[in-house]
Amino acid sequence: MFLRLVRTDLKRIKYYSLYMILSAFLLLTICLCLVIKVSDHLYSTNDRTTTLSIGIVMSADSNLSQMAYAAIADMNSYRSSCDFVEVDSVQTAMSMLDEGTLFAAIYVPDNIINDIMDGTNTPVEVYYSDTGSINTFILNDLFRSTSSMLGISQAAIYSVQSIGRSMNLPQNIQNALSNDINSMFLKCVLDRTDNFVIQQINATRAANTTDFYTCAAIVLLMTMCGTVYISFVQNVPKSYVDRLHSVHIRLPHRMISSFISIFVWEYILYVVIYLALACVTVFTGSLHVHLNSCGFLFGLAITGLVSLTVTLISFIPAGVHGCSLLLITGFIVAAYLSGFFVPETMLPNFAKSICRSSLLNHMAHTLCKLICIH
Amino acid sequence: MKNFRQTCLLIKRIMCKPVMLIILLLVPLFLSIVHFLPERRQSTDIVSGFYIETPDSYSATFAKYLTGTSTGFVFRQYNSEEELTDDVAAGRLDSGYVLPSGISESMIKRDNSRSISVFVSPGTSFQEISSEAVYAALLKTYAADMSALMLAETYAADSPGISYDYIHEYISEHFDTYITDNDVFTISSTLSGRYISSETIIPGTFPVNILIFITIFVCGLLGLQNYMKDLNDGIYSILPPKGRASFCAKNIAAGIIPAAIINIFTMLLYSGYDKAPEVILFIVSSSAAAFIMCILFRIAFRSYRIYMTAMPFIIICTVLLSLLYWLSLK
Repeated sequence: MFLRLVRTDLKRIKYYSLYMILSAFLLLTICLCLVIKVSDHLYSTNDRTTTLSIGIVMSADSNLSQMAYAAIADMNSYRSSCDFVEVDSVQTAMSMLDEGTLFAAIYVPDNIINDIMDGTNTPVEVYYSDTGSINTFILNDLFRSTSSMLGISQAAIYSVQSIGRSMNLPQNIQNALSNDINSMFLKCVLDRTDNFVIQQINATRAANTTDFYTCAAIVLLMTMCGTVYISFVQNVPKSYVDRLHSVHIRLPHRMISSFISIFVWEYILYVVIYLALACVTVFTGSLHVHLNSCGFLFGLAITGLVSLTVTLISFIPAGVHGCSLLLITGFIVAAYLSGFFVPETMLPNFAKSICRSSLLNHMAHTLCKLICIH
Repeated sequence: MKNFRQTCLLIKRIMCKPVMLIILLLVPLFLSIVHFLPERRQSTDIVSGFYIETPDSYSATFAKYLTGTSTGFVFRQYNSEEELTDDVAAGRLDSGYVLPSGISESMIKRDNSRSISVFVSPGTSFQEISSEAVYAALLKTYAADMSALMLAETYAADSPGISYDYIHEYISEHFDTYITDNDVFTISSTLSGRYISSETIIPGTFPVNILIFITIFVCGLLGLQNYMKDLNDGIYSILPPKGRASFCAKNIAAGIIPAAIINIFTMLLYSGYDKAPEVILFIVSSSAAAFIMCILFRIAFRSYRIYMTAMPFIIICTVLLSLLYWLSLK
């Protein structure tokens, strides 16, 4: 008798499933547009990243200065923030600063390298057009960091040379010591980026924000589409229920049978969405969804959870509207606490801890790892 | 007059629905919450963070130099890596630096066995510049020890009797003297002090208009649901098609009118009475749009059961499309 009930339910649910697939595609289109839009809006765009025009005044005949300038201009930190312009004289640079064509001007005194070598240390002068903006202070930090690296190296070199003299080391050893300490600090400063390992992170803690939201949209879509089946469970005539009672088919049997029917169609929906997203990936390249067996298998777990939730809510005697409202409201709260709307790291502290142990969040992350391949 | 009386009765009937009352209270409730929320302020500071996994005798020097010398950046020390990465990921920090255990030993021995993890997000703009400041602070912290170790390992054999401690003490002392006496290369600029940040109040971006349109539309759908249910129960079976269409319009209007009236008052309280003409125009146009959409749904869905199945989707799609529209405007 139970098998007959399952067969009947599978037949009955087909009527609702056509609407569900149609609705799913409509929702999928809207969700995909949202996923792509949301990724653009997560971080505020910073207009301070434009390069600043910096005038540099130095004697053209100083080859060493030119080499130092070329080395500095080639540094990533300067390349990303400064646009160097060579200026003939300090007067020209000053007038350009007044006109606003330059953001800052650097005056490099003649023979600066020789001065550094013999310990005179004539300072490099920097002039700014605007002394109140954040750009000026950031640029100032950059200049100071570079100059302090040189100054610190100098202080260490002078100290070592001094101890070399006080230890009465032979002259050839002192020369070798000077060379070694010079090259040690030169290597340290030139290779400083080797000390840093850049790690890209984002607010969702997934490899890619768009991928995470795509996976979250799949789970969201499947649950929202589950509302269709509330009518399937609720719209059963009382006479039909009484007839089932007479053949010893009670509530648990009906629940299991409904669960099986919902599970089958939710999984069909999952497969359809998965295939559609893989097609979108192939044709547009804006997503990274790829077909693989793990993706299809993990779909069974997602479908199981969604179907169970929908089945349990559908059997609450609150009418179609009441159950729909409960499912949607409950799911929206759960989705919020799982970082589906506001990314995990942007959630309030209480929600952040819930999010990290949330089943929905783990599901979206696992799905993301399984189906989104870069 | 008869039509007016019928519409009033239908309004009275729909107002008895708990769902309708909840939806009507939604807008005033949301707008009150938004009104009482504290203003969002945005600082113009550029903040970077750092976390030292195992603090040692060098940590204080590093932190002091890094936080004390920068004029534009604000470097904030964190007590946990998780907090640091959370703030970077959320865009509250431009970048975050994690100094691992054993970094001091690795820096002094120059064996590159430890690296500093730099956490960046898609919103990071100044990591390349802040990392220069971090490296300058590292060099300042370890330069004397690096030099002492190099000297002790390579040249101390040429001067027997000179210990590492003596070399270290001598170099550290001289190193500090050179730095404090400014006997090294410097830059001089017209700039003095630190950057004084200003706080700007971010204007409220709560989509009031969209929320109002959605509530009016949902109330219209509830009115249509009433009509479809009555039709399904055969209440209008004696009426000609024209009479049924008239009742359909009255039912939808019965849903829309209370929502429109409540929303006019709420919006006037929220935006001020000086904007009354704009508010009234917006509510009237939203109500008209919602009415037309409900009529179209009546044409699309002939059966009450299909309409009931589709209703949650219509609402979800409307909410999502409105969200998309709002994001496009930003």
